[in-house]
Amino acid sequence: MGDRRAFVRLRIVVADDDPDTVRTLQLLLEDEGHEVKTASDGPAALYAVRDFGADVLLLDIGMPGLNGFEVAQKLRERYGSAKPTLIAITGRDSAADKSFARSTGFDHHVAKPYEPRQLVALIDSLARAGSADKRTH
Amino acid sequence: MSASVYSRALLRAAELVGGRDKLAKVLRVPKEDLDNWIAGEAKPPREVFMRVVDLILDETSAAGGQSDAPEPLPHDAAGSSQRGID
Repeated sequence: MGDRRAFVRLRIVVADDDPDTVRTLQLLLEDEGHEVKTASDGPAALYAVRDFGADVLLLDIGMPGLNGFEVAQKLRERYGSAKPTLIAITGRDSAADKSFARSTGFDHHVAKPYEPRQLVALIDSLARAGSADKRTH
Repeated sequence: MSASVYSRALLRAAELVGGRDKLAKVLRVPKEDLDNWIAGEAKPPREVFMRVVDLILDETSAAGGQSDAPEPLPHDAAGSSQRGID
């Protein structure tokens, strides 16, 4: 691969109301060496981020309770720049959608349907980008 | 399905503040409305539900939360300088 930066094991919260999606992503990311917690609604995603000290939150936009945008806004309010890296997983993929996602606090945007490997590659880039100033497990 | 999200959060908040009566006062809403939301007969207004979530986050954080983490401090995995919506 040529990327020689050290790998950092990340704490990742996967938030989606579809149990199959959550389970699949959990297995995939754990297989990559990350620690994963799951949440099935917006409030649960907030509690999980807080309790788990998440590095990354994979967030479905259409969730019950609070949608992904509301969760992102809440995290930005509470943690500012110390919030976890937020990745939107959404069926909306226009430039306007991406711009709105960014304005609510999202850092990355993955459009549905997506290839699991695409997501793993993004997480891997975060794990390596964070290696300089983050803990290594 | 989604009503249970509201019910669960409202019940948790009521437990944290010491009961439904107290929660209704904290939220400044009629007790009957609160009972209806908890029963899943209606959805709480957005701003009320946001306050409920904040209350739970604040109260469980003050009490040490459900984990042994003393204070929520999410890590900044990617480094803020390199971020962007892909």
